Amino acid sequence: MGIAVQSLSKSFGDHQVLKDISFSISKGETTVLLGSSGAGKSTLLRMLNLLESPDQGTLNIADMAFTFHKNQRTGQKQPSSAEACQLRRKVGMVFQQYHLWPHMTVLENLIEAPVQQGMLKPEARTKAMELLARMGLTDKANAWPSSLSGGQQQRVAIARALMLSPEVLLFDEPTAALDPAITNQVVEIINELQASGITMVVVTHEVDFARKIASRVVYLENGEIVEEGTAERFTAPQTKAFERYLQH
Amino acid sequence: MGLTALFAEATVMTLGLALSSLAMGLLMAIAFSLAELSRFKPLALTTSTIVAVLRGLPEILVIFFVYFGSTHAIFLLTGEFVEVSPFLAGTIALSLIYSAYASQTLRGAFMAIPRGQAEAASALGISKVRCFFRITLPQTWRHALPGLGNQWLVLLKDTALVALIGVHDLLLQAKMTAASTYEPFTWYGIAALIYLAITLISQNILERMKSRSNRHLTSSQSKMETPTESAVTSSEATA
Repeated sequence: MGIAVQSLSKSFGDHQVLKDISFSISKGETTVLLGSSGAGKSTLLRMLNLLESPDQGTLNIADMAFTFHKNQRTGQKQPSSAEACQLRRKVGMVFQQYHLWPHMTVLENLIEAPVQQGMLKPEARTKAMELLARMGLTDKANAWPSSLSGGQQQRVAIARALMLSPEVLLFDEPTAALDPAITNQVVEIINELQASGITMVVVTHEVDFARKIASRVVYLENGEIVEEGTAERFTAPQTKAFERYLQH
Repeated sequence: MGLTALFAEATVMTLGLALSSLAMGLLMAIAFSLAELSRFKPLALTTSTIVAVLRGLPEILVIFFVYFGSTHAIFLLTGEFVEVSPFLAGTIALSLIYSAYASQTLRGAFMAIPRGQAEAASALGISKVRCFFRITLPQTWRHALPGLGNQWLVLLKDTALVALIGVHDLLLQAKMTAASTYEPFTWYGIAALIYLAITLISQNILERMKSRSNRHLTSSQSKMETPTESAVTSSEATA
């Protein structure tokens, strides 16, 4: 099973950023969350690995289930940090700003999490080198993150997330800080990962990028799902709003 | 015992006092700064108050208060007269003073670490405690080192105050020798030179630690950062 979300809602103060969101994603698909900024897509993505907790709704992901109720003091509103930890080991995340740890080399960045979680150092190193080779960064293993270009840092961040062999990989605006030529590298990596069967959810506002990677699309506007379907929706949008969005 | 041996012993005492206060002070400073940043308001407020009091009192008063006050407090509480050793009282007082100032440097440094750093760690299933020691603290170090180094130099010289409660440190030794030989200029001068030597060695070590803590920055970035950092350090030194 992949990801299933049932009536998720979230407010920051008086502002409701997500209203009754429901969708499901089957295993191995690449889903794009599309929408203009402020549509709530990043918040939704961050909920999928509990970096934000919803006010209401249920979340099924990587064979774990969470239920959220806002004003219910007796029930467990938030999952325990142990549960969240367990979930995050199966659901990796790549951030828009990469968030590599600058005081560690590329290799140290990669092995930090798996070594803490019990993988032996030599084993972690071997795996890290394999992933770096896959990303075309073998020669950068001992470099500091600050000496890498944006595109290279992005690939290190992807490799770091892959170190835990996640079932699901989340991308938050992976191309927002990259120039178009480098964007194509990210497209290739995502397509290659899809071929290896990993479930991915990608937040973006770039239609061209979305077209190149998506097998499914979810279009959001003001915290609500406006349109949802397979990649064919890019050529045959069902709603006026999505059609307008695709045109600009 | 020759005067050289006496001065050597007194120097070791001064260094011991300064280093143990530094170790204890740093631990307390980390605790204070985290408490001040805590989302639990009563804890943050209590800590801010303690820090404000410590920073508002003359150092010598804190030393007297800890030395004489603790003996008195123990007497009031237990009815027994326990003498707290001047060295212990001096270390506690100096580390309290150091931690009050250092906690402010650390607090600023903690706030300078982008939130995303810890977020990336939690997204990889790294526990909060481990994240603090492996991700946050090592990066804090780089921001805090210039300020902490400065406060270490102040601490080193504050140890001279502890001579007043009878710790046999460099200043007390110089005073006693000056009195018995009637050569105050020579002996205070020698004490001054020893303090100066320790300071210069400290500065050298601090410089090395600073460049090590900046080693992960590429040359272009460190070139850009060096002038601003030295500007901060020199302005702190004059202040």
